[in-house]
Amino acid sequence: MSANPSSKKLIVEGDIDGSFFEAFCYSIGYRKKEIWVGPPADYAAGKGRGKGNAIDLFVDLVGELRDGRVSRLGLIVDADYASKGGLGYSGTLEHISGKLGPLDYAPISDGEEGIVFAHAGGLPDIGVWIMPNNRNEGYLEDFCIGIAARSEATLLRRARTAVTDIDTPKFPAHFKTKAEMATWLAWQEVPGQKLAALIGNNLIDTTSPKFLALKKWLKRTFD
Amino acid sequence: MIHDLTIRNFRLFDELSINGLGRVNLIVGKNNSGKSAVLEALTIYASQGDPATLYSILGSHDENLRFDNPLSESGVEAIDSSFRHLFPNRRFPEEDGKEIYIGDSSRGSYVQLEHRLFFEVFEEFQDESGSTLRRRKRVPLEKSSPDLFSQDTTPEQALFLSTKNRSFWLDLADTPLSRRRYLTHGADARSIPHVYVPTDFITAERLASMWDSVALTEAEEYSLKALKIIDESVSGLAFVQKKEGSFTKEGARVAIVKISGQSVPIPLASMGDGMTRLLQLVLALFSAKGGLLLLDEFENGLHFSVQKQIWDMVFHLAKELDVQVFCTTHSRDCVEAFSQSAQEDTATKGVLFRLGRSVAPKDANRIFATVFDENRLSRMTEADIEVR
Repeated sequence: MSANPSSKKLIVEGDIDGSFFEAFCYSIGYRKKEIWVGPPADYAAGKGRGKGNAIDLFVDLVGELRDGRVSRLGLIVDADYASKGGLGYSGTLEHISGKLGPLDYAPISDGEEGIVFAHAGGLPDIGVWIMPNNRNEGYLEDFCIGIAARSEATLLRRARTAVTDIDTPKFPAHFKTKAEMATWLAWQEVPGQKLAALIGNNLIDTTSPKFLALKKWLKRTFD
Repeated sequence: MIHDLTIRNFRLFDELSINGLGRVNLIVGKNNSGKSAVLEALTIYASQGDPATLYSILGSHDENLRFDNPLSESGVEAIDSSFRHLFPNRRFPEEDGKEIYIGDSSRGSYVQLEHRLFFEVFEEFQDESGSTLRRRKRVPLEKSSPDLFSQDTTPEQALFLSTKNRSFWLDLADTPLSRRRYLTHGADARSIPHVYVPTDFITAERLASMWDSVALTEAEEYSLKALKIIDESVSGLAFVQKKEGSFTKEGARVAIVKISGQSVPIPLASMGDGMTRLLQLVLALFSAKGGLLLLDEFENGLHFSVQKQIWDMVFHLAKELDVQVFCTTHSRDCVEAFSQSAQEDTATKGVLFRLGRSVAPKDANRIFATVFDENRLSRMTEADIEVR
């Protein structure tokens, strides 16, 4: 068991997401470690990654808000695809709402600017973001492609075309954007870096509405 | 087994609900968060409100000493106000409907203790032979009643104790007679067997008496096994009467142990506090068969290196003996060892609950419990399960 000194927690599904959102938070003005960002496996030894575990840990930590051990709390998970064994956007929101209801938390806003749950007894609001945009099915990679810098448009288009042109792709069709993202990252100055490399390397547009929506939701959740 | 515990208006608790209790339960929380009060509430529940048990709980904190009597100033007749210590803020509630309630909602079983005001009247009636007799009758008075303040009335006070199966009055008139009277109510036959192990070590005599109740049963075998956790060389255990001339009072018996390779047994107490504590724990588990074991400060006297094995044994025996265990602790080592045992022993449900004060405005600083089952324990960190 490791100590998580910050009382602000952002729970995500895996390591790659964790490093991406850690960099994202830093880029919008949070100090390093000001918000603890990570998957369940990093929170306490012995617990795995993935959406289910992330939601379970998030719900556990909602319980910690009540005596002030946790002061601010957020969750970012992928919507996935309902037709591919996932929950999709609506299913994910319903699943999370179902777990938060008994804890007296109910959604007060949702949509492309993120989801906010408020507590009936006056505890802090908590935030949920379902990738890519709190509306569609998909993944973090869809969100990242949506905030690509204009200067990357040509390279990204070529990467996407290259993926599309594969006659018999090994990956299933719903993973196409993941393949596109990996290809785009493979063609950068340092090939094959993780998603976190998008931040701070002029690869994303920090003025795009999608970037600003996530930034606003993070500020709403953690300030 | 108690599954869903609710405690209302007792000691520091306004309302405490702990749902999904396990067979083995560890209670953590900062000082003055009510850990011991939960054990007391469980003791009262298990005894089904036995007045002697209530009085013993008060006595253990010297709360039965009557060096003050705040209620006498109000003109109300002097009363035994010891029981006020059981209510929030150590005061009998000023309004009705604030009774102490300790119950298991999953079984519908409860103990309720209500402070009531009443007038005592004697009404006449005729028996079968036509003789006129008088009987005492209590006419309840609402605490909000204006009669309470009229000059010519002096209401009596009493506690009204009710359970699922019975109810009775405990007079609070401050006389030895009334005190004896409420002690004569006796224990409810439907009470749950329970053993309370306090923080301090129990006397050799009490240990010997517990031993007598389990001698020549498998408890002997388990006692030895337990002692071996601390010292492998222990090979036998007995209780013997001290010889005349010793400093202990005549008749006192003490535990002695045989050590492998040594011809003469040695006193258990000479082997350190941990040995006595461990023996106490095992004997208490067997004495609580079919009921509750309530243990204050599990780690007391036990080195961290042996705590995991001891928890393993507690988990195993709790199931075998159908005992529900409630322990408190201040020790991180104890929590760590408990968590491991709880996750390994899938046959016995282990639950940790942490008491703390709520920061939610609506809760008004109320103490509440956060429940950690095995799954949640595995997801949380030491920092989350603060024990000091």
